[in-house]
Amino acid sequence: MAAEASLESLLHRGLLWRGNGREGAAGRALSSGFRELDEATGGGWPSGALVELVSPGGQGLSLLVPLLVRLGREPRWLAWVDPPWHPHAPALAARGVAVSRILQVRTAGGAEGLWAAEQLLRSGNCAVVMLWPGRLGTARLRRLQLAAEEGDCLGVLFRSPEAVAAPSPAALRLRLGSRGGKLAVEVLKRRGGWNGGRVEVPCTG
Amino acid sequence: MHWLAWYFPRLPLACFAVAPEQPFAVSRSEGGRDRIDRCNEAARTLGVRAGMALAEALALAPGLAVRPRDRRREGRLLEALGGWAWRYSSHVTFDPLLVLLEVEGSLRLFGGFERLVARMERELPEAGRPASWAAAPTPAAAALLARVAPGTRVEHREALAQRLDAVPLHRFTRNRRWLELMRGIGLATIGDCLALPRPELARRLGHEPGLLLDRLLGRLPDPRPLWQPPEQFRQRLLLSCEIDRVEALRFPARRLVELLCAFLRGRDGAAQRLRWRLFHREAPATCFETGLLEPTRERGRMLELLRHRLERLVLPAPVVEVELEVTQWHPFRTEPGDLFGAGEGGDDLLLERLRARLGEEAVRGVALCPDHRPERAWRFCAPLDGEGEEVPPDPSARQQPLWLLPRPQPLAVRRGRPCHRGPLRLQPFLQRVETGWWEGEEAARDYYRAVNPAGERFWVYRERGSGAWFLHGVFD
Amino acid sequence: MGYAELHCLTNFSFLRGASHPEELVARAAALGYGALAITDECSLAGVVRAHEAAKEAGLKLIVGCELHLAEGDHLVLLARDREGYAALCRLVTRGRRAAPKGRYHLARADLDGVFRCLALWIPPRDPSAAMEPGWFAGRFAGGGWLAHEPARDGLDGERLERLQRLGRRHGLPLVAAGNVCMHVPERRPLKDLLTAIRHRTTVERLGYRALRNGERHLRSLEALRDLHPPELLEASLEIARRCTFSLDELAYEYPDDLTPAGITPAAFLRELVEAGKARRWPRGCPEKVAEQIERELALIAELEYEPYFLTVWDLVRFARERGILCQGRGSAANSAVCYCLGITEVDPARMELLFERFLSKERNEPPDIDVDFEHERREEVIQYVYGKYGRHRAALAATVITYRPRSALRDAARALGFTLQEVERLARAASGWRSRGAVEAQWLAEVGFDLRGRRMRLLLRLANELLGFPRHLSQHVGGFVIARDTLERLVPVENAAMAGRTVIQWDKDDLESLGLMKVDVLGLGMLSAIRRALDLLGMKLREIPPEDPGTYEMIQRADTLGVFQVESRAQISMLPRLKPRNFYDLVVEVAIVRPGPIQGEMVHPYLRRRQGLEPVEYPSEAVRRVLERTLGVPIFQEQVIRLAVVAAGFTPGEADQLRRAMAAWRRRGGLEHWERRLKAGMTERGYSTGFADRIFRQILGFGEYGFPESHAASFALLVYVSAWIKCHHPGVFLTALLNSQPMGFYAPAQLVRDAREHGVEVRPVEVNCSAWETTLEGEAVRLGLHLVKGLSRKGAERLVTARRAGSFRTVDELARRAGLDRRDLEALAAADALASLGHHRHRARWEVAAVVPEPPLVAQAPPVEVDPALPSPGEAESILHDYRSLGLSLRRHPLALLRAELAREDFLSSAEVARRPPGAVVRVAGLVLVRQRPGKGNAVFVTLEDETGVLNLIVWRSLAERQRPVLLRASLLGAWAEIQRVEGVQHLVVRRLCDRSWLLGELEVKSRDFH
Repeated sequence: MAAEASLESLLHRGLLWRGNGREGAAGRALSSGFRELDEATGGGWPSGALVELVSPGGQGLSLLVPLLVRLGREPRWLAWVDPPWHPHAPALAARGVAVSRILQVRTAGGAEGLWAAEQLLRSGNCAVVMLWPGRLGTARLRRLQLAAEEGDCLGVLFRSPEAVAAPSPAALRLRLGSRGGKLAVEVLKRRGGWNGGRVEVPCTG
Repeated sequence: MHWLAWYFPRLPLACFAVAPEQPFAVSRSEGGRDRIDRCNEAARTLGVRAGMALAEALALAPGLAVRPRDRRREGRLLEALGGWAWRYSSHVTFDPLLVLLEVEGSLRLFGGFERLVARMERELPEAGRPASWAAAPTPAAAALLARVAPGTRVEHREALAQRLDAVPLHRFTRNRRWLELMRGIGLATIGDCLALPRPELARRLGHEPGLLLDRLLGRLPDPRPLWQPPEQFRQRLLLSCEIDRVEALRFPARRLVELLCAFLRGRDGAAQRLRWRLFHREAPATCFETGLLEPTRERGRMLELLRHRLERLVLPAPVVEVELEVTQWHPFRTEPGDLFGAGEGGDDLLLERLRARLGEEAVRGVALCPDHRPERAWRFCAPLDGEGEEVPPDPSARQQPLWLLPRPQPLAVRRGRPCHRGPLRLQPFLQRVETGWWEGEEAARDYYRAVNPAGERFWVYRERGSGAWFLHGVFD
Repeated sequence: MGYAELHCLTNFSFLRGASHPEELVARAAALGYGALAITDECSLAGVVRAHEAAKEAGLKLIVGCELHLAEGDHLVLLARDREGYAALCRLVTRGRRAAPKGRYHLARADLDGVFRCLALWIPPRDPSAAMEPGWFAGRFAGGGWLAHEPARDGLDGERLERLQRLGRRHGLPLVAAGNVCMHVPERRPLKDLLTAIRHRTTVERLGYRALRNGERHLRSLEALRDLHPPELLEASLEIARRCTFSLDELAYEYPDDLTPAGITPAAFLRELVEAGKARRWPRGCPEKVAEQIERELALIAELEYEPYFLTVWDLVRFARERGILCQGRGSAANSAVCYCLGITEVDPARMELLFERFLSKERNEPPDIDVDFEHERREEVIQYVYGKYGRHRAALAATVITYRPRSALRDAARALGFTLQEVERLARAASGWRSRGAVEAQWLAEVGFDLRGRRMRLLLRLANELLGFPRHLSQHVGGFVIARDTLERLVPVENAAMAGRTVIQWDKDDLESLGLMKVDVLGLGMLSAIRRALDLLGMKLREIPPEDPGTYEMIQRADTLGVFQVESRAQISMLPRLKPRNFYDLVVEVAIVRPGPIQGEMVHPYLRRRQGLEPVEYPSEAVRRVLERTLGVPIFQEQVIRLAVVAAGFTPGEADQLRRAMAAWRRRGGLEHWERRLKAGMTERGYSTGFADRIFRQILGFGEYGFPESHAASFALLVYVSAWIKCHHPGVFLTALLNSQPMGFYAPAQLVRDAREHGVEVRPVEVNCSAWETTLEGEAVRLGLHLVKGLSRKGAERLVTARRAGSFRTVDELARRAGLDRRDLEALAAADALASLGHHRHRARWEVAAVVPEPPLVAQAPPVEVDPALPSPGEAESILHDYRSLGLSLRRHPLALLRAELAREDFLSSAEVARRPPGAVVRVAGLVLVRQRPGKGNAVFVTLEDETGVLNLIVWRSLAERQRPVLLRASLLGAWAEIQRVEGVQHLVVRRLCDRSWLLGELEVKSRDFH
């Protein structure tokens, strides 16, 4: 109820936009800013849900940049929990991201990181929460998914291939690899659509 | 009517927070030349004297800090001292550098004149020290005597003329035409003036001198406006020299807290939230609040809390001015109100919760800094602190990676090629950064994109001096 | 593959360029560039220096400028030919005249009249920004390029691609350029420092305004090949080939207004010279001089300089007609033609003239005639020039204001983030006496800085690099350029700080290099005083009897207070030793007491030889002829030049180049070549190495300070004339000096005291007697109302006019008839000028205070007043008031009042000191008249005055530094000192100083400080 109320109020203030409804079960989606990716995922990033980006090198941030640009215009945080390196603020700013919205949370990792991510997802004060967790139990993932729904927040998990053997409650799961300066994206899982789509996305970063 | 005047000769110095060991003076401009107006003890021991030309004083005391006199600040500080006097009389008024209070009604309440004066002296805030006093039947006479004959008390109007006879006129008035005429005709004292025929004097100088003299002696009434202390407390102290160490802020803060306490005592109030502002020369002000569990007017508690807050404070730039503001105060010893106050969003709660568990430094925002060195082009800051700082984005950063290593990592070189998980293939893209010479160790680097055999893309640079290779960023 | 740099700023783009034009040119030449364009921002101020350097280095120079237009376009314009250059000059003039000093304003429309220029379009730094070169492509079709300026900022690839697309779209070719602001990358710190100064911030706070890297330098050809496609480099050379203009084409066209119709300038000049000859030598011109005149006229004719001489003649003629006294100074006095034209007053028959010093064929530069006019009337001459030639033809030359140690330290320290207090301290370290040379570490240590830190090392290095950098253009004191038709085809003109004044963008060295004519219209206070004295005496200058023995006796006694030049402390102590006996001795006196001869160690040998204590020997007959008149010691510049000719085999023209090199060596160095030639030449001719060394050392000493003989002679003439007047008419002399203030070394108080000691009766200022100026009443001098502080000139003039109808009897009457306001009346009362109305000062002050500002409409009797009892002023108070209101007193000297008190402390009067033997240590005290620290001297000279005379103190440097506050602060200074007397000259060498100013109470004694 409380989550609904806060969502309604956000909608009322014009800070979120609803999907066009075509996807039905996929609910609201946030355009990724890449036509190819939007087509393959049924509209882009699912709002209020978890997304898993799977790659050997923790790649995928550049895929999120257009979204970060847009979400940065809202008065909500773009939260980074235990990123592998420093996000290079000038490069983000040069691509249009409002760096004053960036909130970086550094924890001892493991459970503490997940706790922080959950707090952030649930708070309603974050537009997106990114984290780089190791192995995760399904129960833990489900808690995060619930928190994302409650806080109407996009949760992005950057994961290594070996960590994603188990099934996941995430709304979208993508496998990433680079191919000649482009990012090759394979859709492992999406809600209400066909898995297995492959696209190449021209993004740099 | 019995007027007690307090004269604060060092007030022009006290507007500036100066450590006592720092030679300090305020200057005034006189005929286009800057002169020393007043100086502190440290400056005096170096030979600096009031009236000296500024250049001369600086020659004597090269380390002398000098600020021009600032009458507006003096007025504000004087008003804060009015808060102290307000406790002893409801009729408080001001002259430059003087607080005047009508005490006839208060004498009995405070146990007689001597006790009143002693008590006021005890409770005088540091910013007002040293002070001298005098009392007389007219405010003007009390004010004059406080300056020329401290500790004088004249009880009867009739005795005034005789008491003031030998006082030089220039201590009484700044009316230049009056003073010049008197000097021109070889006369100097108030007594001389009183001896001149009044109509003839008026013909030359208008009626003002006669009026002033009559008010001085109580022959004419000298109505003074009733002062009402302000509803809110807000005081600023300008620092004599820029402070870059947090500990050094305690001295000016103490001054301000003393004034606040005098204000609160005068109003019989207590404060709960103190708002501090630290002004920097070229950076936006640093603001923070110190809150108390319950309202108080105890100096020690306020200072204690401030000390804790200062320990966590990182100054972005040296501080030039400190302000203390209390917009709300409570009647003394009433029930404390809502501890957390109203209107604070959940955002603060979220951050507080994270901080409480992960530590203060775990939750940070980032801000851009205009610098060509990638690692200096941004910094961690308190969340949202970077907002509103206008740093134009650097177009060159479009070509830089989204990830930056916490510090550049030296790369091994094999067969002339830098390696990171295999030999790196360099791409011709080139950016040269040479800057920071003013910091001793300057950066001189050529940046390249590089790819390793696994296809991972890196941002590496070669130091122009040594030729050594470093990994500095990772392309996503 | 070669290259021409087409976009290059020098430090004449103030606080933007970080290298001198000469440095850029030399570097470009060394790198093998095909050409270099100097393109300062809306300015041609640096091109002449660059041109000179380019000629020397054999590099092709292109003249251009960079512009930021109001619409946002950023361009570089390059002059193709003479017409293109004229268009640039007009454009820069237009932009500069349309904005306050130091700025400019130009819009696209202003470029409509610009033809025969090539143009570069400079893209914005961010290649993704909007770029619209459409207007440019249309305006500069066929002569416009897009500039490709790689910056190694990571965007070079993007940039080139974008420009190539734009070029194809708009039909614009691309060209390589460098956006250069320094000649070598090592200037990067200085460039950042300049940027910080320009933005009034510190280098640490520059942010992105700091240089990203050192790429904006003149790159090697190899580096250029890495950065540009070859066709872009080729395009730069193509542009350079199409720009054929050289500043050498600016043949100066002399104004031809002055020659009457139907006669050649040469014939007209000869006519004037012949007339002058007849006037100067009514009994016939000496043979030698006549020959000289012919030689000069021949050379003038050959070089076609007649219009120049006619122009100066015209100015002098104008001044004469207006009764303005004037005299040519400097090397012009070497010319017999100038003497005939009345430009100079030194009789060539009395002097050894050296015409080559003035004009020489080798030098190929125009003559330079400086003329002094009465300082108060110089403006009339300036207005005459503007009136005659018009502002489009006449303008003042610029003076390039450059960084000196003090300003360099101050600005560098601010930019490096020193606190205000530290900056003040640093500025003091370089104050006053240290205005030349490099900033030395020692100075900073003296004011308490630790030199070991990085900050201090940076400061020292950068402040010294900054030295000599131009800061802005100011107007030259009086150097006029006059063009035949219009100036703006020749050089840009910009606004000066002074309203209504305009200056050209070149200074006098630039004008000299290009052979442009300049006339110096200078002001000299002594000329005003002499003219006034001659008016009072009803005499003409030439009626003053020459070689008057009485005058020389006075000069030998050093009784020369107020006399031109020889009144300075150094001169006064030299006179009794040199004992000038004739005019030529005065010429020597003027020239010898100068830093040059003093440093070149010429003074003492000359003195000893003159006193017969040392034999005068010459290594050869030829040298004897050059040095005989100065007893074997070279004292004048001309002698150095002659020596180079006779002893080292220089041609006269070469010798003059040596002189010019001498004048510049302190700033630029570069004498080695001359040293070798000079010494080799002398050895070849059999002179000893010792002699050669000594001569060279003396040449160095001369440096910038030496006087030419002709100039010394012009000045000596004024010395003689002013001395003659003082000697025979001290009252007239005093009157003339007081009316020409401010001038000279001494204040009115000392001039009056000196005159009274010479028996002149000086009468006080008095409303019923004094005029505005000081006047003569018979033999006596009546001080004028101009001395009364606070009295308006208009009020005083009304007073004098009203007095013609009869004396004033009361204050009211004075106020009414003269229409004086209260301020004027108060000033008069304070000056004790109402004594004749029967009032002492106090009473007068009381009376005037009652005067109603507006006179009543109906005359009514003033109300009857009760008189208060006012004390009459005492002597001390009167003296005090005198000084305050007049700056002098005719009563006793203030120290006479304090004598008893001073005697208690064993202070002796100057008269008592004179009776003590040399070597005695005495205590003295007096009012400080002058504090002086000559050049790089090791001592401060202080002149004290008491009621019996003056005392000259020498304070050695160590003591001066130790007791600096007392030395600089005291107005009544006391000293323990040892008496020294040499040949009748007394000095007191100070051992300790003390301040007794408090004895004066509030007596204000003005001391004048000279640096």
